[in-house]
Amino acid sequence: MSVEDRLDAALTGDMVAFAASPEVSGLVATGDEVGGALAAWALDPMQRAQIYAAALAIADASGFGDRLRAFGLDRRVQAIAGGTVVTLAAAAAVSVAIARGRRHDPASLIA
Amino acid sequence: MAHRSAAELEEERLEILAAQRDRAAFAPLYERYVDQIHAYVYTLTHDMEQADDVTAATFAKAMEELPRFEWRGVPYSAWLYRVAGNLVSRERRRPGWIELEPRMLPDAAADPALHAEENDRADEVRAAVAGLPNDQRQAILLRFGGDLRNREIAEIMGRSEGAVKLLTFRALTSLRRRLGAPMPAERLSRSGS
Repeated sequence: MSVEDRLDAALTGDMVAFAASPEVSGLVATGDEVGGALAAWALDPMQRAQIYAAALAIADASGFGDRLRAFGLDRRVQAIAGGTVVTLAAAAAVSVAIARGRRHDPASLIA
Repeated sequence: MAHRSAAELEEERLEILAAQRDRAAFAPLYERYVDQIHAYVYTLTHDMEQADDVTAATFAKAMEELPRFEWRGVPYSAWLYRVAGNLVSRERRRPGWIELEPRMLPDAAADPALHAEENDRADEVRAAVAGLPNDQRQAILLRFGGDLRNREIAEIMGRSEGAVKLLTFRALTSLRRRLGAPMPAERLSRSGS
């Protein structure tokens, strides 16, 4: 068994391989320290949010329609658009009703 | 090294399925891997701005490819590392050395002096990793930063498993020579495990 095989076995938890030679156990300890140093790398919440926002912006920048379809969002967008049309129509109807009301409101005539 | 258990992999598979149905469900995957990918890219590039950009591009690509992503029983990070590595390779400009500026979350409970010492040592370790030859550095980052198995690393790097073992051995030998023995806490954690 080569030294790199023994190291690999020790890194995956083989205690016999780990204890077999000081060289291997030393390299495992160094590997543990490297793992700890890399795991200690942590972005703060603001940076995480910024990178996520950038990722979303990139993902949405091209092929927007395809992406909407891929995620099934087109139906939601249509629903939102439909809802917006209904809302606008309702608002227009209310405006007309108010205008008519004003037209027939004696107070408005006086004013 | 703690590789992912079958249950953890299954949980991740379900998370990916959920994200394929609703992109909002991608957030847990992002949260799990953003630090790893950022550390990986930063160690490859030595450039914080590029690390931010490549990390964002990696996750953008991940979101774009989600509908076509097929689960193959390996951690999702293997795919992310491959994308990030490809993006770095594509944009690689031989960078000059710049001071590492790790952005660590402070641990309020820790002794400030000890915390500073640990941070300094972690900086030293990351700098040593950054100074490795490219292949060795990548093998080390994927193994110890990504907790990936040899076959997963081999696939990402386009090398054999035997080559990955050899790269890991050479890298750790070089790091050991440069860094010396780990801090006492590291030695204690190993002897206690």
